[in-house]
Amino acid sequence: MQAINARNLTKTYRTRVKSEGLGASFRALAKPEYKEVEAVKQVDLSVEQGEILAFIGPNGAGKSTFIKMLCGILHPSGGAVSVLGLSPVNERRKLALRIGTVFGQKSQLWLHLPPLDSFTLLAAIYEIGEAERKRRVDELSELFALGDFLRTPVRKLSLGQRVRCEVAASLLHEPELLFLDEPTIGLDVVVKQAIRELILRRNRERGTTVFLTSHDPADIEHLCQRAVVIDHGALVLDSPVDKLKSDNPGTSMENIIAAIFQQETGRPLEAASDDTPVEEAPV
Amino acid sequence: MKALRKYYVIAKVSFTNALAYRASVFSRFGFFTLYIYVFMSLWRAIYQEGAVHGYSYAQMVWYLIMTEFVSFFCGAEILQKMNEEVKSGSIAYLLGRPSHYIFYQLANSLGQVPLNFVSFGALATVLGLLFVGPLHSFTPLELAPLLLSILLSILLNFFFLTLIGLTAFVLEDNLALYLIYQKLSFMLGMFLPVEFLPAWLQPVAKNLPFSYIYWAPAKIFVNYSPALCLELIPRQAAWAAAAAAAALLCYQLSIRRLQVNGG
Ligand SMILES: Nc1ncnc2c1ncn2[C@@H]1O[C@H](COP(=O)(O)OP(=O)(O)OP(=O)(O)O)[C@@H](O)[C@H]1O
Ligand SMILES: [Mg+2]
Repeated sequence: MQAINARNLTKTYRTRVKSEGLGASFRALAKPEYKEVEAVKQVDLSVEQGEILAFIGPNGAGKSTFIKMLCGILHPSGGAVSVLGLSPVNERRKLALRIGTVFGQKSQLWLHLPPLDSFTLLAAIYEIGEAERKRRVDELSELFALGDFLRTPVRKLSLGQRVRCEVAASLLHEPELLFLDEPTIGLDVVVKQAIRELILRRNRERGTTVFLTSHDPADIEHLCQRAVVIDHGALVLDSPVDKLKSDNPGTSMENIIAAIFQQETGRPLEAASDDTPVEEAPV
Repeated sequence: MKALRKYYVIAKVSFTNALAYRASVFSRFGFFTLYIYVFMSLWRAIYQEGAVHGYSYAQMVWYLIMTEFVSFFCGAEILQKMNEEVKSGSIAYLLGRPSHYIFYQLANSLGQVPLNFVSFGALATVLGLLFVGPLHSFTPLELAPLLLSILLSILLNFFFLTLIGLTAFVLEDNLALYLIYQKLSFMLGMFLPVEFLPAWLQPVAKNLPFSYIYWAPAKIFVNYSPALCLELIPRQAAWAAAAAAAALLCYQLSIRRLQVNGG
């Protein structure tokens, strides 16, 4: 079965424009001016169950917007989408039981309480029984090496420790489909690797479908089978990660991605295929 | 059953959070006392002897204590929280869960009540006894209707604040709305009993929801009679139900227009 099926999916944001000056403020009060941003433009995308897909694109390309539509928290402006066979907007709560989300830049844990309390809250919200909750918390705690962090107020955890708890929290209800929006942002190399390993294990052991956005080429290289590139709201590339590598032998994943982005934004390709970045110049 | 348990656990975690935060309760004790003291002095200056509009001086002070008590534990935190969640975009997590956003906030809000109820209840009682002595008309009989009236006040206030909070989905700033709400409930019951208003304004106030947040429980408290309860409590319940329905409807309408921020 298909995990995700989007047809012509479109999202237009409407924001108020404010000009400078007092006069403009009064005019805006009487007749507000709006600016429209087409964040996602007629995207067609299918994802099979069990896939690990990298959804990449430059800043502001529309990745987070797309994910929010798939979770049902943003209403599309046009097109159709089905996730695990459900309509995200009309069957949001039913879908919510089966999907998990991690927004790397936001927190779902209660800042002043230990993560364990947030887990208890989530277990109740996802209708997980007492015994089952204990089992899953133990399992996740072992998997993510949470140990003492579970009993430490979240505000006292380091970013890496907190993010491990955030990801664990999103897995508590054992979702079939996991949306990860920049889950490794701000983490050190070792923690990044650990998180990748955990996600891979979930995928192998339970067939969890993973929809990942990241600006870290290593995430894409080590985690994903397929890469989809979005730019200015439109899909520009859909290719197996292996093919990207074999088509560009000897080029690092970072440069392959940079080349794709620059091609799409119309900048010259040559600059991107330069394989000796300044930072790596011999000392 | 499971659905109900869900919101019970949310309230419980919120209660734990309030306990973790208890330092803020003590800092607010000072404000509570100061507020009572200032307005009590005002009433003392006004009251030379006897009663004004049916309230004795002691009743007036207890009235003040009760309205402050209600306002200190169903405060505006929920509104601040909702606004912050919309601004930061962390509302994305709340909306992506199999729980209802409004009921989540309600459970969260109610979870904060017990701690405030007990701590401010104790302080309010001590202050009242200290300043004007016991309220002679008070009987244990009125405890049940009084608690019911206070609960309805909390609900009515909660749904009003939620309605204002929901406007953050479409408006950039809802502070003005909150200030209007705050001023109206201050004038129509929190500071002045409705009986103190100009004659023409009294029926207007009684037909608006604002007086039923502070005036109703405080009036029942200092002027208890079964007839009064039968008059005020059903009205409180009706307004709370109307506000709840309005909040749920507004949620359905505005959720479509919410542009979840950030990411
Ligand atoms: N709440 C909003 N209101 C108005 N415009 C928005 C809103 N959220 C995003 N946008 C606009 O939509 C476009 C896509 O934003 P989105 O957050 O989806 O990008 P992204 O691909 O996730 O970028 P990044 O990699 O920087 O996270 C951007 O131009 C952004 O300015
Ligand atoms: Mg993003």
